Amino acid sequence: MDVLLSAIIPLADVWVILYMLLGLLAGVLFGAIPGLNAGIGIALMLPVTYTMDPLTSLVFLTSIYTGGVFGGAITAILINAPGSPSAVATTLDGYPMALKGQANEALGLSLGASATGGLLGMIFLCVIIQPLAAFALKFGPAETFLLVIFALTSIASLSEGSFLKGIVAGLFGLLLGTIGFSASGSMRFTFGQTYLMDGMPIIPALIGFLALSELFSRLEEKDVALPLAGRLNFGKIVKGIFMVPRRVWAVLRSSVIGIFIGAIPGVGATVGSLISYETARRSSRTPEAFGRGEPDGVIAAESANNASEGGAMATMLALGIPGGAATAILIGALTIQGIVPGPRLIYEHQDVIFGLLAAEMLEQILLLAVGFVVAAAFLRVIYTPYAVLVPVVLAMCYIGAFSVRNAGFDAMLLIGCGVLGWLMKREGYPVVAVVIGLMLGKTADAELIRIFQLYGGDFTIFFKSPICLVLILATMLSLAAPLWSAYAKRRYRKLNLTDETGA
Amino acid sequence: MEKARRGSALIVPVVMLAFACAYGWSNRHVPTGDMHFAWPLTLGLGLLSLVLIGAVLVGRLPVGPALTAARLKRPVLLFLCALILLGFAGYDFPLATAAFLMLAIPLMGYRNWLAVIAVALVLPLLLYWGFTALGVPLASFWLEG
Repeated sequence: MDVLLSAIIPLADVWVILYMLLGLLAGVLFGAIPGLNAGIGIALMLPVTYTMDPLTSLVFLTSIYTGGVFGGAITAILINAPGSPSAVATTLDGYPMALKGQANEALGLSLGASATGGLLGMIFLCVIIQPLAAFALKFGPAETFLLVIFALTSIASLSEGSFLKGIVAGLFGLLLGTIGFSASGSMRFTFGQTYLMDGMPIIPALIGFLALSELFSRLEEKDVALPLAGRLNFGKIVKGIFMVPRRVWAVLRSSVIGIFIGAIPGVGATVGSLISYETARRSSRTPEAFGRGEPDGVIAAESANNASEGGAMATMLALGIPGGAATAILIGALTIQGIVPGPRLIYEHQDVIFGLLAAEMLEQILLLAVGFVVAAAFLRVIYTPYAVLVPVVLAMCYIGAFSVRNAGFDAMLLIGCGVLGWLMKREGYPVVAVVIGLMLGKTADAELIRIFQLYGGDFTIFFKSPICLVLILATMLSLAAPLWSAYAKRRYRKLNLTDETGA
Repeated sequence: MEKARRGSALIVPVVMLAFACAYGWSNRHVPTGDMHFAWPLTLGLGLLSLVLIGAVLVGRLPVGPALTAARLKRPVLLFLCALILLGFAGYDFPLATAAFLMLAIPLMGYRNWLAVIAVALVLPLLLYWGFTALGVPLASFWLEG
């Protein structure tokens, strides 16, 4: 209790609150502009945090995350163009509500559901983080190594597209992560360059793979003029917000789904909101109303995608495993501040972590006001032509990459990673698997070297602890999932074909 | 995504294969004790890249849209414009960014010159002042001090 109370004190600082508001504002805008998202927003704003103290920096970046997850809903509802992938499920009922003349109510619903879902996610995070970190402290080198392998296989197998492409992307990322000094002092793939001795520079690579690649992808397509959004009515938005408490059960169920899906590496808010939407539709007394402007559909999608932030943050803070693009960049930000995510984090930086948890709760409440303001005053920003937006964002990417070490090499790496990420994306390779492999490669490598030093290459160590066995089982299941899914699809197609010829 | 034989789909697996070969070659003198993790990964990446190349060649892999000149035009132009930033932003960020924006925005297809000039002149200064005020050391020989 004392810890929680002392965590609230830094939040009385005007600058922390100001950065929180600025982060939410930037996040909602990044989320609302189709083609940008919370991850890109965090990547672009990283240089702003280089001189901040750890808590203010984390509060600012997580505010962008929180705002970004909600922001996608604004354009999803008003013009049927989800600002970010996590808002895809919101379009299913949000836009039909807008067509029925209930756009304001839908916006209010999404705002209320996002804030409530996000708050529930953060309560979950508060409850789970200490037990999860205490449990993770039991992890030895074998458990940590297997956890990294599980995280990567689950990302590769759950990502869209070919499983083989996912595995290749993950292996590529892991190899990138092993560049530089090894745990026992050998230099790998540095070509005698000092720039790579400390390993692949994380920030330029992250910005390149996640943000710049998206810009190149956008430029490949012709620009499409977005339809104009109608006028907003604040009374009706507030009415929409007050519709949320009357649907407590829907909010609770969707938030729980969002939290647990968000905690699985590689799944994230998009899948969470789609599963939550489907669950709400199936359990509804009027499933036929879904897809035609059903308020429960908006609630299911929005509370799940914001609640998933709590689950993703739990995995990131307690285990040091990034679940997706946004948490990968947050880990990069923590590393810049000299903080290493993982089981020890909560014991070594208790003030920062509990301060962050308290701030995250406040963010969810402030989101109601900021979401309101952005929808009212800044909606025109979404109509900025890509031809202007992309070069401006690229200039900001350059600042983010260059200013970590003031090295031209990092700027070149940014462009290289951006081009490679674009080529990978257009062929269906999950770039997020490369990024997460890059972040976890060094850990997995160091743990395996430690296993060899401690046990002399005796691999039975992987079968001696129950945690290892569970992780091996989970890895095998995640590897089997795509094979099973492909088999089921083939069988379904075959059955359909037999039915058609039989008929 | 459709299953087809397409040359552009070979780019990524070939890059991966080249990386695996270069990684293996450059680390041939690293003691085996430090490569317990890296060798299997290198071999795995090389082999799977070959499988991907094979799958593309026989048209069994879902591939992305063809790399036509129309699709490539804007990304390539942006890449070329970005060379201005790479070459000169280390010496003078506002000037290099202004030149980059002045060239890139029209080339990307936005031709409202008044707006282009306004963005290209004002934004670099705002970025420079904003970020240097926050402690990010951006270079400028005429604005420093």
